[in-house]
Amino acid sequence: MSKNVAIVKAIEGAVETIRKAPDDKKPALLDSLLSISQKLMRVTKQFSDIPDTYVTKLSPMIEKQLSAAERRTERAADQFLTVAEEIKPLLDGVDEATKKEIQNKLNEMFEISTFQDLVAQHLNEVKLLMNDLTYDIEELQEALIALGDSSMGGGKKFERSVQQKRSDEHLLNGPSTDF
Amino acid sequence: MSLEKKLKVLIVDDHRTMLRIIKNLLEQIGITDVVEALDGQEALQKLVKDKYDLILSDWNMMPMTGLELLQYVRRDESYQHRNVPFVMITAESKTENVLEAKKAGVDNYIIKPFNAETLEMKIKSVLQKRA
Repeated sequence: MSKNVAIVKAIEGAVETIRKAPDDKKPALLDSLLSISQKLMRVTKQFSDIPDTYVTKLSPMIEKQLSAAERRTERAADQFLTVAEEIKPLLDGVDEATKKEIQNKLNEMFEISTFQDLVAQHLNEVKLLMNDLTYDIEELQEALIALGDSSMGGGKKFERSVQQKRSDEHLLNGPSTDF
Repeated sequence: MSLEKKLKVLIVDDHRTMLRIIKNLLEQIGITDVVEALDGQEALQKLVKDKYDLILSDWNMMPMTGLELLQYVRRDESYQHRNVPFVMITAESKTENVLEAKKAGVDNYIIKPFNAETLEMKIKSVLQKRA
Protein backbone atom coordinates (compact mmCIF):
# COMPACT_ATOMS: atom_id res chain seq x y z
CA MET A 1 0.00 0.00 0.00
CA SER A 2 2.88 2.41 0.74
CA LYS A 3 4.11 2.00 -2.86
CA ASN A 4 0.64 2.97 -4.12
CA VAL A 5 0.66 6.03 -1.92
CA ALA A 6 4.10 6.92 -3.29
CA ILE A 7 2.77 6.70 -6.87
CA VAL A 8 -0.25 8.85 -6.03
CA LYS A 9 2.05 11.40 -4.34
CA ALA A 10 4.32 11.38 -7.41
CA ILE A 11 1.33 12.13 -9.64
CA GLU A 12 0.16 14.86 -7.26
CA GLY A 13 3.72 16.28 -7.34
CA ALA A 14 3.69 16.24 -11.13
CA VAL A 15 0.31 18.03 -11.17
CA GLU A 16 1.71 20.67 -8.80
CA THR A 17 4.75 21.14 -11.03
CA ILE A 18 2.51 21.53 -14.08
CA ARG A 19 0.43 24.08 -12.21
CA LYS A 20 3.55 26.19 -11.64
CA ALA A 21 4.78 25.77 -15.23
CA PRO A 22 4.44 28.53 -17.88
CA ASP A 23 1.00 28.57 -19.47
CA ASP A 24 2.26 27.65 -22.97
CA LYS A 25 3.91 24.45 -21.61
CA LYS A 26 0.93 23.27 -19.52
CA PRO A 27 -1.11 21.46 -22.25
CA ALA A 28 1.89 19.36 -23.39
CA LEU A 29 2.84 18.50 -19.80
CA LEU A 30 -0.75 17.53 -18.96
CA ASP A 31 -0.88 15.31 -22.08
CA SER A 32 2.35 13.59 -20.97
CA LEU A 33 1.02 13.03 -17.48
CA LEU A 34 -2.23 11.62 -18.85
CA SER A 35 -0.27 9.30 -21.16
CA ILE A 36 1.92 8.06 -18.28
CA SER A 37 -1.17 7.47 -16.13
CA GLN A 38 -2.88 5.48 -18.89
CA LYS A 39 0.22 3.34 -19.45
CA LEU A 40 0.45 2.75 -15.71
CA MET A 41 -3.16 1.58 -15.68
CA ARG A 42 -2.58 -0.77 -18.62
CA VAL A 43 0.47 -2.32 -16.91
CA THR A 44 -1.49 -2.63 -13.67
CA LYS A 45 -4.29 -4.41 -15.53
CA GLN A 46 -1.84 -6.78 -17.23
CA PHE A 47 -0.18 -7.61 -13.90
CA SER A 48 -3.48 -8.14 -12.12
CA ASP A 49 -4.52 -10.67 -14.80
CA ILE A 50 -1.46 -12.85 -14.03
CA PRO A 51 -2.63 -13.78 -10.49
CA ASP A 52 -6.11 -14.61 -11.84
CA THR A 53 -4.63 -17.08 -14.33
CA TYR A 54 -2.37 -18.56 -11.67
CA VAL A 55 -5.00 -18.86 -8.95
CA THR A 56 -7.89 -20.09 -11.10
CA LYS A 57 -6.07 -22.26 -13.65
CA LEU A 58 -2.39 -23.05 -12.99
CA SER A 59 -2.45 -23.61 -9.24
CA PRO A 60 -5.36 -26.13 -9.26
CA MET A 61 -3.73 -27.96 -12.19
CA ILE A 62 -0.37 -28.22 -10.39
CA GLU A 63 -2.07 -29.40 -7.20
CA LYS A 64 -4.05 -32.01 -9.15
CA GLN A 65 -0.86 -33.35 -10.74
CA LEU A 66 0.94 -33.50 -7.37
CA SER A 67 -1.98 -35.36 -5.78
CA ALA A 68 -2.03 -37.80 -8.70
CA ALA A 69 1.71 -38.41 -8.29
CA GLU A 70 1.17 -39.06 -4.57
CA ARG A 71 -1.69 -41.49 -5.26
CA ARG A 72 0.30 -43.37 -7.89
CA THR A 73 3.38 -43.82 -5.68
CA GLU A 74 1.14 -44.94 -2.84
CA ARG A 75 -0.54 -47.49 -5.09
CA ALA A 76 2.84 -48.71 -6.34
CA ALA A 77 4.16 -49.08 -2.78
CA ASP A 78 0.97 -50.94 -1.75
CA GLN A 79 1.29 -53.39 -4.63
CA PHE A 80 4.96 -53.85 -3.82
CA LEU A 81 4.09 -54.61 -0.19
CA THR A 82 1.34 -57.04 -1.19
CA VAL A 83 3.83 -59.02 -3.25
CA ALA A 84 6.31 -59.05 -0.36
CA GLU A 85 3.58 -60.17 2.07
CA GLU A 86 2.51 -62.94 -0.29
CA ILE A 87 6.03 -64.36 -0.25
CA LYS A 88 6.00 -64.87 3.55
CA PRO A 89 3.62 -67.89 3.71
CA LEU A 90 5.60 -69.53 0.92
CA LEU A 91 8.55 -69.81 3.32
CA ASP A 92 6.86 -72.59 5.35
CA GLY A 93 8.78 -75.77 4.80
CA VAL A 94 11.77 -74.06 3.25
CA ASP A 95 15.13 -74.95 4.85
CA GLU A 96 16.31 -72.50 7.56
CA ALA A 97 19.29 -71.09 5.67
CA THR A 98 17.22 -70.27 2.58
CA LYS A 99 14.37 -68.99 4.75
CA LYS A 100 16.73 -66.58 6.53
CA GLU A 101 18.15 -65.39 3.24
CA ILE A 102 14.69 -64.74 1.79
CA GLN A 103 13.59 -63.02 5.02
CA ASN A 104 16.59 -60.69 4.77
CA LYS A 105 15.57 -59.84 1.22
CA LEU A 106 11.99 -59.24 2.39
CA ASN A 107 13.34 -56.87 5.04
CA GLU A 108 15.14 -54.96 2.33
CA MET A 109 11.90 -54.78 0.34
CA PHE A 110 9.99 -53.40 3.34
CA GLU A 111 12.74 -50.86 3.92
CA ILE A 112 12.68 -49.77 0.27
CA SER A 113 8.89 -49.31 0.50
CA THR A 114 9.39 -46.35 2.83
CA PHE A 115 10.27 -44.33 -0.27
CA GLN A 116 6.55 -43.70 -0.67
CA ASP A 117 6.30 -41.94 2.67
CA LEU A 118 9.33 -39.77 1.89
CA VAL A 119 8.01 -38.93 -1.60
CA ALA A 120 4.66 -37.98 -0.05
CA GLN A 121 6.45 -35.64 2.37
CA HIS A 122 8.33 -33.96 -0.48
CA LEU A 123 5.11 -33.56 -2.48
CA ASN A 124 3.37 -32.12 0.53
CA GLU A 125 6.22 -29.65 0.97
CA VAL A 126 5.77 -28.55 -2.67
CA LYS A 127 2.04 -28.05 -2.01
CA LEU A 128 2.83 -25.87 1.00
CA LEU A 129 5.34 -23.83 -1.00
CA MET A 130 2.66 -23.37 -3.67
CA ASN A 131 0.30 -22.18 -0.98
CA ASP A 132 2.90 -19.57 0.02
CA LEU A 133 3.37 -18.55 -3.62
CA THR A 134 -0.41 -18.18 -4.05
CA TYR A 135 -0.50 -16.06 -0.92
CA ASP A 136 2.25 -13.77 -2.29
CA ILE A 137 0.61 -13.54 -5.72
CA GLU A 138 -2.75 -12.67 -4.19
CA GLU A 139 -1.07 -10.04 -2.05
CA LEU A 140 0.39 -8.55 -5.25
CA GLN A 141 -3.04 -8.69 -6.88
CA GLU A 142 -4.62 -6.97 -3.89
CA ALA A 143 -1.98 -4.22 -4.07
CA LEU A 144 -2.53 -3.74 -7.80
CA ILE A 145 -6.28 -3.51 -7.39
CA ALA A 146 -5.80 -1.01 -4.56
CA LEU A 147 -3.53 0.98 -6.88
CA GLY A 148 -6.32 1.07 -9.46
CA ASP A 149 -8.72 2.23 -6.75
CA SER A 150 -6.54 4.95 -5.32
CA SER A 151 -4.96 6.43 -8.41
CA MET A 152 -7.55 6.03 -11.14
CA GLY A 153 -10.79 5.12 -9.43
CA GLY A 154 -12.66 1.90 -10.16
CA GLY A 155 -11.02 -1.43 -9.32
CA LYS A 156 -12.83 -4.58 -8.26
CA LYS A 157 -13.73 -6.39 -5.06
CA PHE A 158 -10.98 -8.84 -4.14
CA GLU A 159 -11.41 -12.11 -2.28
CA ARG A 160 -8.38 -14.15 -1.28
CA SER A 161 -8.27 -17.90 -1.75
CA VAL A 162 -5.34 -18.22 0.65
CA GLN A 163 -5.72 -16.55 4.02
CA GLN A 164 -2.32 -17.23 5.54
CA LYS A 165 1.14 -18.56 4.87
CA ARG A 166 2.30 -21.98 6.12
CA SER A 167 -0.87 -23.32 7.69
CA ASP A 168 1.27 -26.22 8.99
CA GLU A 169 3.51 -23.86 10.95
CA HIS A 170 3.36 -26.12 14.00
CA LEU A 171 4.67 -29.04 11.94
CA LEU A 172 7.77 -27.09 11.05
CA ASN A 173 8.97 -27.69 14.56
CA GLY A 174 9.20 -31.33 13.64
CA PRO A 175 11.77 -33.06 11.50
CA SER A 176 11.66 -32.15 7.87
CA THR A 177 12.72 -33.98 4.78
CA ASP A 178 16.22 -33.11 3.72
CA PHE A 179 17.45 -33.02 0.17
CA MET B 1 16.32 -61.84 15.27
CA SER B 2 13.59 -61.55 17.90
CA LEU B 3 12.75 -59.85 21.16
CA GLU B 4 12.39 -62.12 24.16
CA LYS B 5 9.46 -60.39 25.83
CA LYS B 6 6.08 -60.47 24.11
CA LEU B 7 5.26 -56.86 23.48
CA LYS B 8 2.00 -55.12 22.69
CA VAL B 9 2.85 -52.22 20.43
CA LEU B 10 0.78 -49.26 19.23
CA ILE B 11 1.93 -47.83 15.89
CA VAL B 12 0.71 -44.41 14.78
CA ASP B 13 1.08 -43.01 11.28
CA ASP B 14 -1.28 -41.12 8.97
CA HIS B 15 -0.02 -43.10 5.96
CA ARG B 16 -1.55 -46.56 5.66
CA THR B 17 1.42 -47.75 3.61
CA MET B 18 3.83 -46.74 6.35
CA LEU B 19 1.72 -48.55 8.97
CA ARG B 20 1.88 -51.65 6.80
CA ILE B 21 5.66 -51.36 6.47
CA ILE B 22 6.20 -50.89 10.22
CA LYS B 23 3.87 -53.80 10.99
CA ASN B 24 5.79 -56.06 8.61
CA LEU B 25 9.15 -55.00 10.01
CA LEU B 26 7.92 -55.61 13.57
CA GLU B 27 6.74 -59.04 12.54
CA GLN B 28 10.19 -59.78 11.16
CA ILE B 29 11.68 -59.13 14.60
CA GLY B 30 9.07 -61.24 16.35
CA ILE B 31 6.56 -58.58 17.43
CA THR B 32 3.14 -59.65 16.26
CA ASP B 33 0.82 -58.02 18.81
CA VAL B 34 0.49 -54.74 16.95
CA VAL B 35 -2.36 -52.22 16.98
CA GLU B 36 -2.55 -49.48 14.36
CA ALA B 37 -3.80 -45.88 14.62
CA LEU B 38 -4.10 -43.49 11.70
CA ASP B 39 -3.66 -40.32 13.73
CA GLY B 40 -3.00 -38.96 17.19
CA GLN B 41 -6.68 -38.80 18.14
CA GLU B 42 -7.25 -42.43 17.22
CA ALA B 43 -4.12 -43.36 19.14
CA LEU B 44 -5.41 -41.62 22.28
CA GLN B 45 -8.73 -43.48 21.98
CA LYS B 46 -6.88 -46.80 21.74
CA LEU B 47 -4.69 -45.88 24.70
CA VAL B 48 -7.77 -45.34 26.85
CA LYS B 49 -9.12 -48.80 26.00
CA ASP B 50 -5.94 -50.88 26.28
CA LYS B 51 -2.49 -51.06 27.80
CA TYR B 52 0.63 -51.00 25.62
CA ASP B 53 4.29 -51.79 26.19
CA LEU B 54 5.53 -49.43 23.49
CA ILE B 55 4.33 -46.63 21.21
CA LEU B 56 5.92 -46.07 17.81
CA SER B 57 4.69 -42.84 16.28
CA ASP B 58 5.35 -40.76 13.21
CA TRP B 59 6.14 -37.08 13.85
CA ASN B 60 4.63 -35.37 10.81
CA MET B 61 0.93 -36.05 11.15
CA MET B 62 -2.13 -33.89 10.84
CA PRO B 63 -4.11 -32.69 12.73
CA MET B 64 -2.22 -33.92 15.81
CA THR B 65 1.54 -34.25 15.44
CA GLY B 66 3.59 -37.03 16.98
CA LEU B 67 5.07 -34.50 19.37
CA GLU B 68 1.60 -33.41 20.53
CA LEU B 69 0.61 -37.05 20.99
CA LEU B 70 3.73 -37.59 23.10
CA GLN B 71 2.87 -34.55 25.23
CA TYR B 72 -0.68 -35.87 25.76
CA VAL B 73 0.64 -39.31 26.71
CA ARG B 74 3.12 -37.88 29.20
CA ARG B 75 0.32 -35.82 30.77
CA ASP B 76 -1.99 -38.85 31.04
CA GLU B 77 -3.97 -38.24 34.23
CA SER B 78 -4.86 -41.89 34.67
CA TYR B 79 -1.10 -42.67 34.74
CA GLN B 80 -1.81 -45.73 32.62
CA HIS B 81 0.49 -44.66 29.80
CA ARG B 82 2.37 -41.80 31.36
CA ASN B 83 5.56 -43.86 31.42
CA VAL B 84 5.08 -46.04 28.37
CA PRO B 85 8.20 -46.09 26.15
CA PHE B 86 7.66 -43.76 23.21
CA VAL B 87 9.74 -43.94 20.02
CA MET B 88 9.34 -41.22 17.41
CA ILE B 89 9.67 -42.12 13.74
CA THR B 90 10.90 -39.21 11.67
CA ALA B 91 12.37 -38.13 8.38
CA GLU B 92 15.75 -36.37 8.56
CA SER B 93 15.92 -34.75 11.97
CA LYS B 94 17.43 -31.51 13.17
CA THR B 95 19.16 -31.18 16.52
CA GLU B 96 16.65 -28.64 17.85
CA ASN B 97 13.76 -30.98 17.02
CA VAL B 98 15.40 -33.90 18.76
CA LEU B 99 15.96 -31.70 21.80
CA GLU B 100 12.32 -30.62 21.74
CA ALA B 101 11.19 -34.24 21.60
CA LYS B 102 13.60 -35.15 24.40
CA LYS B 103 12.18 -32.36 26.51
CA ALA B 104 8.70 -33.76 25.91
CA GLY B 105 9.85 -37.16 27.12
CA VAL B 106 10.61 -39.20 24.01
CA ASP B 107 12.68 -42.34 24.64
CA ASN B 108 14.30 -42.62 21.25
CA TYR B 109 13.77 -41.86 17.60
CA ILE B 110 14.17 -43.69 14.30
CA ILE B 111 15.04 -41.91 11.09
CA LYS B 112 13.35 -43.01 7.85
CA PRO B 113 14.11 -45.07 5.88
CA PHE B 114 14.92 -47.79 8.39
CA ASN B 115 15.18 -51.56 8.44
CA ALA B 116 14.18 -54.33 10.83
CA GLU B 117 17.65 -54.39 12.37
CA THR B 118 17.54 -50.68 13.29
CA LEU B 119 14.03 -51.07 14.61
CA GLU B 120 15.02 -53.98 16.83
CA MET B 121 18.14 -52.19 18.05
CA LYS B 122 16.18 -49.07 19.00
CA ILE B 123 13.41 -51.03 20.73
CA LYS B 124 15.90 -53.11 22.69
CA SER B 125 17.81 -50.00 23.71
CA VAL B 126 14.64 -48.29 24.94
CA LEU B 127 13.44 -51.33 26.87
CA GLN B 128 16.86 -51.89 28.45
CA LYS B 129 16.98 -48.29 29.67
CA ARG B 130 13.50 -48.66 31.15
CA ALA B 131 14.24 -52.04 32.82
